[in-house]
Amino acid sequence: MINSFFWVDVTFWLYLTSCAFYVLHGFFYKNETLGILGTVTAILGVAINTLALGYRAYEAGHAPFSNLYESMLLFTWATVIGYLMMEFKYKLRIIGTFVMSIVFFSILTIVWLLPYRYQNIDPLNPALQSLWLEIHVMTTFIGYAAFAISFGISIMYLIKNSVEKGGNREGNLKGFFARFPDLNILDELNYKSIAWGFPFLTIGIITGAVWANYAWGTYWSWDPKETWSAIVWLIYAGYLHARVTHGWRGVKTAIFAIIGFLSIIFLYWGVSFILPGLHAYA
Amino acid sequence: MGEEKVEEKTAAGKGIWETIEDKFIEIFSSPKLAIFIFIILAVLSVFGTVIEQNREPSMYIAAYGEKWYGVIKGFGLTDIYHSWYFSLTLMLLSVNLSVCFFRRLPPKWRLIKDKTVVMAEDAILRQKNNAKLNHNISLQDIKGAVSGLLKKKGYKVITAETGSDVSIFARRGAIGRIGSDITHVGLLIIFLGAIMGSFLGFKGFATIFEGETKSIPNTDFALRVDKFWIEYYDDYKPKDFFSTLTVIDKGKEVFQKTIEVNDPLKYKGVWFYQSSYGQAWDMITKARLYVYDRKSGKFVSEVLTDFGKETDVPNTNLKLKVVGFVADFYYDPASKEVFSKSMEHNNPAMQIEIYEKGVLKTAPWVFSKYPEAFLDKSTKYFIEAAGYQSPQYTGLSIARDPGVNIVWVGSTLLTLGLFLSFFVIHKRIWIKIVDKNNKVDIYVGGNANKNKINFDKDFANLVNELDKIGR
Ligand code: HEM
Repeated sequence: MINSFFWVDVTFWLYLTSCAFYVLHGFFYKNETLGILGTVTAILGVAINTLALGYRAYEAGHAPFSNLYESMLLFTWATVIGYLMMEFKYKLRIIGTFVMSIVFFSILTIVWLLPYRYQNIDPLNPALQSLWLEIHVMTTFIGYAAFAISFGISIMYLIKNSVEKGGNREGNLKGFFARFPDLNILDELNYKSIAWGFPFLTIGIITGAVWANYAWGTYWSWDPKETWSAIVWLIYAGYLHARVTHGWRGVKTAIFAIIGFLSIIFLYWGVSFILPGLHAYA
Repeated sequence: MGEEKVEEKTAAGKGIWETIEDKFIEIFSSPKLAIFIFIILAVLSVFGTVIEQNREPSMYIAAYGEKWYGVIKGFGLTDIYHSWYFSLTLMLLSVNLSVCFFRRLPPKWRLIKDKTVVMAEDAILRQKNNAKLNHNISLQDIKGAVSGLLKKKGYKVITAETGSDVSIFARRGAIGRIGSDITHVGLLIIFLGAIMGSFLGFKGFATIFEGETKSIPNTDFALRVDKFWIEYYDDYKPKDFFSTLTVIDKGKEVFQKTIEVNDPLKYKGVWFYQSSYGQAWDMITKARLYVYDRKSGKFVSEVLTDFGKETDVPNTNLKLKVVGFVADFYYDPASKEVFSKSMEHNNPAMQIEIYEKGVLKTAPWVFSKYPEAFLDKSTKYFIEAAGYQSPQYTGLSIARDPGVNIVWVGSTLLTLGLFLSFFVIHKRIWIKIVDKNNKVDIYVGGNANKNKINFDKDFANLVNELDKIGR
């Protein structure tokens, strides 16, 4: 039977294939075809990802943002679109090896690792039936996607940096690393991704507050999810200030961005499973 | 560095207050302090998510033990976001933001307004991006084309001419420079709104039964619940719940609205949110009673009675009257009073007055879940509480927050500032075209405050196009 699970599976295989092509292209860079195949499967994947989300919405009768399974699909969707936009603009396909790996691991977690009960379509609890919620989730996940990209780029930065410092180790891997973009380009792209993520995370937090105010009469109640979103926000505000007012660059900002994304993973998964609070559903 | 500056000033005859003021401004205009404050806020917030906030003492004692509870409580960790040190940190942040704003805006404003058109050739070539070209065209023929090209790229262009050269200054996106200031002001405005809300607003909760009118605390009006109902999904999970409310002000019905979750009612700045519902825990409207013969256990009769109304039991000389109800029976031996332990219907019990031939015999409590607990022997009957109907109440959250709109204004500014600061980039280009006997030398220099990769490309394109003019 064709249902949203089927389309999610197709998405999974396409992202896996795309990821493989990007990695192969990283090693056999002279073969342009591999890179093009990577991009094409990524585009196909995101198209089917869209279809899966649409199908899910159709089956559930509401926007598909109400549980972890659905929001992860939104995360992969936004990350791939964000990455493709970047590839289109800067033509730095090697970044795809990292970003598509993140995307692949994300979809792997929900298809294979997430317990089945989290995949169910649940009727919406009354508080969740709001347009504000939909805007809140959309913008938040665009923000998460941008931060995920900055995470990938930061890792590339650290690898390239240590390889350049480490001098003359030879071999295939070295050639692979050598093809990473220049350090200052990686640094600038890292900032650029956070410059996308930060406003969207901000809008996400604000629309969440508007929604809470409409549902409960309090725009901010310090529940763990809200508080952690503020912590993450402060970390990235710290990144921006360190960069703009103290001229931090390179390794320091890369580490900062990695800490930022780890705190997002905690905000997204950790808070829901470890800490008690209102946002238990997503 | 700042230390010496202050001393210098003191030496130059400044009073102690000026020195303190200088020091104060110096500390609080520092973006370093900002990062420090971010860290403190983040760490305190983490504490607040690890230790549950505002719970009852027994929960903390169970989790941490008596001794640690004292410590946790003593440090204000059970309500950290309202502790004095958290508020103090937020205040420091606000002062930091304000001082920073006033210290940094004027020079920035001057930079935005700056229209230095004429720049020496070597100064142009010292710009981050720069190039030197030459053309076999006369100065007069080329100058229009150059400024036209820049205008086409969206720059505002100013030119200055002398007999032998033309200087061009092109700029765009200067407003992006104050994006961060708009963000900072937005944040201050949010704080302002939050403070107004906490001092001038109030939060409350009311349970009101269908048909009941309740005056609302802290206001001069009352609210009547005309109707309350729940809609269910096919699997009986609640889908949504609704209350039809009528506002009654000075005895007059003012207006009516049906609220639901996510759709509150607003009157005189007070918002009413549909937040919960439940069954009355101290009241029923109807009861269904079964009467048996105690000896034989034979069913005698069934009575459907209204609360507080004496009702004949058919086939007997009994009359029954339900006079009390609790949802979760509890008898307090000290006060000898019965009350409901909770709002849940865990152990519903009703008190029934039993009249025989018109004379009140007893008034025992009868338990719905434990019929065998009926031990009254004053008549030859055994009475069972078979069922009851209790009215449903609607649970309304009540909030007045005069600061909330200010918070939204601040949020809008904050967001707007972010987009300005990240996506509107201040780009400046200076060009000098120097006449060399029907040939020209063109000096081009420029910079951007952000997104330098893109500007590198833009600049290279510009130089390319300048190179093509007249070829
Ligand atoms: C949570 C609080 C704050 C937030 C969210 C915030 C946000 C921002 C943002 C988004 C930028 C622009 C960064 C960029 O262009 O990449 C910025 C820049 C800046 N912020 Fe803050 N800020 C905060 C607090 C402060 C405080 C307390 C100060 C006081 C010293 C401060 C001083 C600055 C300065 C000096 C800049 C430099 C950029 C410029 O002048 O345009 N910020 N801030």
